[in-house]
Amino acid sequence: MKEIEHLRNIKPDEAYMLRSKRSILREEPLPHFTLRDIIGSHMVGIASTAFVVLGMIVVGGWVFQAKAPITAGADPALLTAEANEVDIQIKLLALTYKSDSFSPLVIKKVLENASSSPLLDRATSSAATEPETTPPASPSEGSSATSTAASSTILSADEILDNLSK
Amino acid sequence: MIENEQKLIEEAVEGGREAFGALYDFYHTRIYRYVFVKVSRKEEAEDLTHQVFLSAWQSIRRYKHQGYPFSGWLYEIARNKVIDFYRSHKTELSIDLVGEHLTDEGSAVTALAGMMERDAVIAAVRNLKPLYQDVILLRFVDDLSLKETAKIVGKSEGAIKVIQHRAIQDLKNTLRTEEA
Repeated sequence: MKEIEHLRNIKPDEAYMLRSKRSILREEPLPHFTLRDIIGSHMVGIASTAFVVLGMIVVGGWVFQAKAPITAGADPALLTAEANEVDIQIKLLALTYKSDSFSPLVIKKVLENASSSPLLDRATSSAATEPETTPPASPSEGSSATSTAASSTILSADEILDNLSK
Repeated sequence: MIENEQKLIEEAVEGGREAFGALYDFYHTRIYRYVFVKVSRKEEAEDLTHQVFLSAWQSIRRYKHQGYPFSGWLYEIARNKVIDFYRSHKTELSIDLVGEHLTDEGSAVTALAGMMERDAVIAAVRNLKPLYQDVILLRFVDDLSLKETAKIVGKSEGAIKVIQHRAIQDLKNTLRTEEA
């Protein structure tokens, strides 16, 4: 360890020491900001930002409420009753098909299905007094006959679509 | 430890230049010695030591007493500066000029003999691993305690004991080889 103790004789140059010291002390120590300092120095900014954000939340909530649907305060039972009272009737006065869209076989089947539906029964019973229509002589005539039969029958749109899909 | 060190530190933390100047005067030589052995060149040792104290002064407001002497904080800065220095330079520095920067008293012959001996010691120390160098310098040149040394190099006191033992063995072996 004696050898190591020789290292204690290492010393810096005095002039350098003085120069370095002066140079260092000419500098200003850097400011040290703690969280408390940052919050303290920006208190006004933080408070005003918080106030603005709070205001935006309040105004936004108010606008949202103002734009609420008109049925928000209505009685659902009353609305249902009103809706049920509305009389909606759909009457098909004319229904035509393109002659080449359906084969006579399909048209015949549609008519058979239609004749078995209660609505058609009702309609046909009312038209029972009318003279019988002559059966179609040819496929091309069938289409016109179909349109004639359909036009004299009151069917709901759903029923017609059902029949067509069958 | 310098007299009234705690008071000086408190004043320096508040921006007291005179207080920091007193701390500088007291610790500068130690830090310079530590850096000098590490880099072995006067100019670089001066520059690095200057940087150590400049960093210390600039960040003095962040200093918090944690039960260790102020020198521990300075050594930590110095150690990091030396590591940064070697990272950026990555050159093997010669120790040819070591002798001319060592002070000695007595006759020229005695001084020369002393310088040569110190040169050999410095060369031997510099042959050690960086961690071993730190422990040898802090423990035996700057007389820091095991606890202080452990804090500076980031190891436990037990680890420092082991490292110190191995470092001494390595140093002895190196010096013996050089003598032979």
